[in-house]
Amino acid sequence: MKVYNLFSNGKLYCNDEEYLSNSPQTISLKEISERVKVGQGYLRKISIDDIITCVDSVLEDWSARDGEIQKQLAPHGLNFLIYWFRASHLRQISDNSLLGNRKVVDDFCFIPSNNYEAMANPRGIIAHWLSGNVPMLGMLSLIQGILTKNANILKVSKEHYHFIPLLLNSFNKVVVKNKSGNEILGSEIIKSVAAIYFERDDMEAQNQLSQIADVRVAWGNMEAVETIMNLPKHYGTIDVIFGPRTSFMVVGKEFLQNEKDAEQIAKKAALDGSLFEQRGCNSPHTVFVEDGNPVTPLQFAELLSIEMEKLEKKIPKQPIASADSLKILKYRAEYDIKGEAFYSKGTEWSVLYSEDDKGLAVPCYNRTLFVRPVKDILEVAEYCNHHTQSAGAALSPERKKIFAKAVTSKGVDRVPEIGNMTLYEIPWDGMFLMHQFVRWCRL
Amino acid sequence: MFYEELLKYKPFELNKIEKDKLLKASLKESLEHHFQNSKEYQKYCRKKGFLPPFENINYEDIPFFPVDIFKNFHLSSVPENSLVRTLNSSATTSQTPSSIYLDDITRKRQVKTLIWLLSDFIGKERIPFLIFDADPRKNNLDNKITARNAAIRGFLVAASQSEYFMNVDAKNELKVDLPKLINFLAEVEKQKTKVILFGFTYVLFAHVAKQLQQQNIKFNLANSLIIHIGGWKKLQSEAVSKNVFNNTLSSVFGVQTNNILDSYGFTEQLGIIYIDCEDGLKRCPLVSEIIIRDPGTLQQLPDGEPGLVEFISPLPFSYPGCAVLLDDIGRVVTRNSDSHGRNGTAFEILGRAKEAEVRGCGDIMAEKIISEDR
Repeated sequence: MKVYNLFSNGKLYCNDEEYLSNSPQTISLKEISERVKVGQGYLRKISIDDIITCVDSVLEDWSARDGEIQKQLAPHGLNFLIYWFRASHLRQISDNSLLGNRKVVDDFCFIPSNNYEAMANPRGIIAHWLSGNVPMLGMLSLIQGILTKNANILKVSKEHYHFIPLLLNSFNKVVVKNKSGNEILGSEIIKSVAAIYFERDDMEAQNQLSQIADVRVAWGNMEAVETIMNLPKHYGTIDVIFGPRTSFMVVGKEFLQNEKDAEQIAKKAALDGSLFEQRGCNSPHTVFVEDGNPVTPLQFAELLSIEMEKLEKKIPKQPIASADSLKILKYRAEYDIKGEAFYSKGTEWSVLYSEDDKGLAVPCYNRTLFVRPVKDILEVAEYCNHHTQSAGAALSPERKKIFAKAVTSKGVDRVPEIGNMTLYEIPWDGMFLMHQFVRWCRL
Repeated sequence: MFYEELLKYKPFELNKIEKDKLLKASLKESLEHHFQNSKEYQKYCRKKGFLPPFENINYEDIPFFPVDIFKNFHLSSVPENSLVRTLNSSATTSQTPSSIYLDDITRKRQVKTLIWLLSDFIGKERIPFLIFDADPRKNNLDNKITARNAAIRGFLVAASQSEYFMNVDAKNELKVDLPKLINFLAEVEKQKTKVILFGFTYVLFAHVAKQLQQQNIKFNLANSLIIHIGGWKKLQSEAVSKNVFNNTLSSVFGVQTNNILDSYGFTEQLGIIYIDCEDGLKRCPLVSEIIIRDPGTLQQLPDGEPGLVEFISPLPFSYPGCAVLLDDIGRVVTRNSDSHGRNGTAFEILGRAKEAEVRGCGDIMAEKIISEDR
């Protein structure tokens, strides 16, 4: 068993992406769990609002335009994290998740709707297994673990393993004063967090981490999350799974009556289809467009292609693996022959249309959107199940509600506006995460 | 027919200017044929703004098909009733084989081209082929062996006779038929006959040479040659270099290392084989050209830089396979001739195209579709 210490006790061990190749420091999981438990003591002494203020201050370091963090992490969704970690947003999501009053993590509070006093105690140690596809997502579960005053151990993925430690280290630079004039130290808060790495087939390490955990959070593909769920755990451990899922969009007749409206939707759809190179669970791959309107599905595909091209200039494409390039070229050739294909000169983006295609497309990623006509948007519900996560919708409010009811009953968890699909919202995957991270107590 | 005219020259005798003139003229004829007779190809070309007359074209401007397209479409440029055979690719990487539909013209071109190219390396006389794989007539073959056999059969048109020397055992593993091999080779040694030992690179090394070496069985086939196909991926993963491969086979069979010929080819342009020249590089003969493309921009890369490999050839007549982008990574090494005066763009194949290490969440769709298919 070899567990590599990337960040613990407030100290950054992993300075760059070469760290694991240059005899990295190993550590026992017992030592790691003791360190984060000691660090957790500080969290219990301060309020959730103190923590939120401190996190908000960390954003300054993350946002520094010429800073190393922006340079390395901006293409991987850092700026979304910055938006998400703002104090006002954290306050809002904490209230949303915790019976309307975030202060329940500090003390017993009266909950008017329930007519009793309740308190949310941390569950203990949260072990997060992070995925490689969208490395920043792990920070979202982490921050909710910190806000609920749990100790947190992050098992990062091999891809971009140095990102998370780099972000954690920023806490060391932050000292803020709370309303009572007391100093809140980022360096003490972050001692409740450790980032480690071990090989995925190191079963001894996997087992130990699993048995340390009071909550197991698993991000990743089916194989990864199933492996984690099958590890031994102690009685009472809570599991939170963010496994593989897919997403799509629907464009209703309401936005297909003239080119201008359709163009606006196409612009937003291009954003959803470009961010994270479509690797997120909430990234759309198929765009269902209602047929029989002044703007046809094919015309919409063309409008979308124009917006994809524009966006590529604003959000440059990440380098592509050679086999993925071939996959894109295969799809393009296929649709050139059987339907219509709009695409960039290189492999930057592709919009593929065929009137014969039905159902959800097998994702090709790398900014590849499959546009498919449907007579009625409600037909799409039959393609939904527990593997479909988000259904971005451009519909009138009335029809959106009907559509949402139909698709959520089949398994979809979110029906955001097109353009907002890649936002991480509360609830996520059907859960209020912070709610899962606490033990509810009542007076 | 212009393609057949090309075969009147020696495969590597013309310099670049002479070759380009003839090859482009032949390509013009071939591309026009496909444009007129394959509606799919015509649509594809029109989409790319590539329209006849295809005079003095740039190779890189010819619309290419990614190799996998032959898995999804029945692409044909001749009437259905003139098709005589369907070729299935090996499909060892993906699960779906390509299907290539052949008419008599294409099939004859393939045979002529293969013999034309092989003769440049092994001489004009037809030689017996000793095949190191399972005999498809005697064994219940699994898909992998069947696929290998399809590739092997392509070569046998150049053989005066052929004989198989392996069987599949109860565990479905390949085993050399030792008594048969010893008897046969004893006669070859005695008569000092020239034969070609033929098989897949990995099979020849792991299942034949290593096994014979372990049993200390050696032959002396100084007049013979070894031709192997199939690539290095598996041996590279076992850290077996070309030198180790050649030395091992040479010590077991007594064939000189310079008579061990590494051959590369693919179903979509069957008949054209790329055999190592004196300098260890493969060269494009008169009937083909290579382009290396950047996987991101798709632009042609400068010589020396690795990228996706595309081959261009006027050979295919019954299907529009004149420009095919493969799932291999390679690079152009030089445009100079070898010490035997062989001209043609010299290249090396570096391995298979790689997928991104990080996959997306939506892979659940692919998993779902695969499991539903099962």
